[in-house]
Amino acid sequence: MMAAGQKLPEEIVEFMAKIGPRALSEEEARALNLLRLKHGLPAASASGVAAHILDGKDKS
Amino acid sequence: MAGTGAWQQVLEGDSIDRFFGHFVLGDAQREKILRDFPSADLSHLPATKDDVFKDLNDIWQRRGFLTPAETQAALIEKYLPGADERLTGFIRDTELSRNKPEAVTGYLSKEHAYLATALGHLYARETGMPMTMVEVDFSNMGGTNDYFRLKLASEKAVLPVDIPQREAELLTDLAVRVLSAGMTADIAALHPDARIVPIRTGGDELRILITGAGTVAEQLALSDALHAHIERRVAAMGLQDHAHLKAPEDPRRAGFGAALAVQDMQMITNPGTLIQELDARITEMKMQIGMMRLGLIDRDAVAAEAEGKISVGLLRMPLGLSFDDTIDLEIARAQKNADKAAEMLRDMNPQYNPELPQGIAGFKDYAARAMAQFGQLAVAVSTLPEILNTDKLGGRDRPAGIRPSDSLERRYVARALEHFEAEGIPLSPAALHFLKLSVRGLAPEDPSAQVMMPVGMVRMIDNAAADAQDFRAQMEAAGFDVDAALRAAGLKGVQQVMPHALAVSVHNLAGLNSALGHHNADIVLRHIAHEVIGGSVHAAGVPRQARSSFAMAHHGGGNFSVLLPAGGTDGQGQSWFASQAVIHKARSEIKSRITLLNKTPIAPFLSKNGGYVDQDVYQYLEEKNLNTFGDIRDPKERSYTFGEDIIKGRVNGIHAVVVSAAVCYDPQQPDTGGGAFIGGLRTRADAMMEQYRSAMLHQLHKQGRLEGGYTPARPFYAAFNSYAMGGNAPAAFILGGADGKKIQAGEDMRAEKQGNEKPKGPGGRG
Repeated sequence: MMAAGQKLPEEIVEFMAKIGPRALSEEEARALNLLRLKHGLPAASASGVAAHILDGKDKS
Repeated sequence: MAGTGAWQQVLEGDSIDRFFGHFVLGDAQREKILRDFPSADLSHLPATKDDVFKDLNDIWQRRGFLTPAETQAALIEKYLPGADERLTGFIRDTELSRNKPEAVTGYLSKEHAYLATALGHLYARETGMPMTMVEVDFSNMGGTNDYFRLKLASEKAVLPVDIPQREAELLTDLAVRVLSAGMTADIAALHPDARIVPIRTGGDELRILITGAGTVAEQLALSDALHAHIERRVAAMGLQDHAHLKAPEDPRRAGFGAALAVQDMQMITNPGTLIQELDARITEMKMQIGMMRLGLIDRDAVAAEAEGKISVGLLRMPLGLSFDDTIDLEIARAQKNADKAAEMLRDMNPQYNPELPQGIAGFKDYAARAMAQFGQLAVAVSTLPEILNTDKLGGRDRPAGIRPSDSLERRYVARALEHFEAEGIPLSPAALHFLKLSVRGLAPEDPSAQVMMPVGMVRMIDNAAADAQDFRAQMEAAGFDVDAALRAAGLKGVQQVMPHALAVSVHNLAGLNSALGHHNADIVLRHIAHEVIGGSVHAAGVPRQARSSFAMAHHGGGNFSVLLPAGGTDGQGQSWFASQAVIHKARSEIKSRITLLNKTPIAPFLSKNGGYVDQDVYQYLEEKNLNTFGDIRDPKERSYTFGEDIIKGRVNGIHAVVVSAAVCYDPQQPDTGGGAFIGGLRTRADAMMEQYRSAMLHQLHKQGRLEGGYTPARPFYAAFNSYAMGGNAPAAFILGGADGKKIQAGEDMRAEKQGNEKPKGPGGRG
């Protein structure tokens, strides 16, 4: 598992370097997200959210 | 500890550089103090920014991470050892009053955003302690305003148009408050020992810094928990389903909500690209959450997530199952969970569950119960010292020695000095320096444009209105050459001498952000504020000297306001009065400078002004044919109706419109005041910008240079636009374009594009 302070995977660094400072397109946002998910990094996924909703811990 | 300039490598590092600079006296300042006060002891003061950096590290070691105001208070305390407690207490209260929560979210206001972020990143790098940044973006606030308006109209049995927009907005604000307060409460519950610094960074954006969640597993859990809580609260407020304002046809974007991205601040590889990376992650999350509300899943994302979790050990493959079978199992499980979660959310939603309290009353009831559970956030806040706890610093309340043209900062400082003199509290040169530094913070600065926050402009307008009568009465006694100044200003008498305010609306800030990124767009925004607008006002004859200047505020996006004092004296001792003549000159100058900006090559400009431009960026600009700022693409397709057609297209490049008004109202009267005045002026500027864009589309369409197309008109749009473009046009439309010329409706409609006259190919950019 990646520990705190560990470097970002090179694949992701290269992906962002290629894009530069501009905003990502929808397709690029999706590709970046899939890359982060494949590396086990925090990224957009609702499956954990759905599981959390179902586990009943949240009453508020 | 890293060496000199380590702070410049962090996110928003230049804000730390400026912050450190406030504590260091320049050589000239030191010499002057020692000349005036030969026995002054300056030995406790930092000689360099590195000294401040070391002291900050000491504070972090002793007290942990602090808010920017707490940090400044701690540093000042260190640099004033043995000072009178009445002074240090006054400074501490002044500093901590700036932690007063922002009205809607209860978070710190935007003035703290960049410095808090930079300090957070630097803290993570220097101390090696966990620091997590949560970037949050609300969804569909505009559509939620519309939803509440319709709901209120339905409950009151009136037409939606009879419901004041503000009434609906206040309900949306309440929903924002529930989610904002809920998030910090959730974080505190998950990480009870962490320091939490939440900031409202924009109209629909938040940033939360947390000294915790240092492992990836904790960050994943935090993201899931926060999103799950948000979804439950949105459902309980009955706000899951109404149409999205900008995408009403897309059910995944329906409803109100918030999505977020969790970022380990020790894992920031490139500060120059981080914000757009987080924006992209949030956009993607919004889609995933929108699907979940519908009971759908993104199979690719679920598969990638399962693969990632297997690779980092957060998910084990069941015995006897292959990798592919495990992924299939996870997809099936995710689908089942999404179905159930959607059903559960519907059960919690009063729109689907008739047993729950219904309507606006039910919504308010839920919000009150939720807020009662959340508790208060642990950020130190003080009440402002009584002497400074006023907006009234003009007219009869103007401090002694303050002129009507003096800035808000100077007024607050004068009021504080009056207090110390009256109390007989002596101030050493160092004490005076830090007292001024602290009190100046009461005229807060917008960190992106580096001009005042809107709250400062509201106070300045009130003070200017109160000052105007005094100014007119006293100007002859003050040695003004009244007749000459009246002639120069084209005014007929002293009764016409009054402060004036401008609202400037600049088009395509979104395009700058999208094409060049947040950091580079800020650099252009500051150029527009200081060189285009400020430089133009100065060129129109309003001096820039500290004691006789104009005030400027940034209202978000491309919106600015400027206040010209009723008059003053320029650098050559000449008297001048604010007038339409001055404003006309300023407006012409703004047009010229925008034209020049549109012709300015992007890469060299950014490179010269500290932008993020490396070889990849050069290549990207070249590939996209982004040579000058006039090439910056409008990210939004716009439309207007002309005859029977709807003309659609983009207004590329940078453009500006200006509206102005004399500041003449009685601040004692109800429903008047700086807020209402500047709000009204900004509304006119917004309306005028809409008209300007339509005129631009029309012109580009006629010239065959429109990037877009046109479709037959639909009756609704035709009716709407006939109001906007026809004889009942709003007042701002009649006022004219940014160049001061009248824009006419119909066939003769013309609008001059400001700058970027480079010919374009048909149907798009060249």
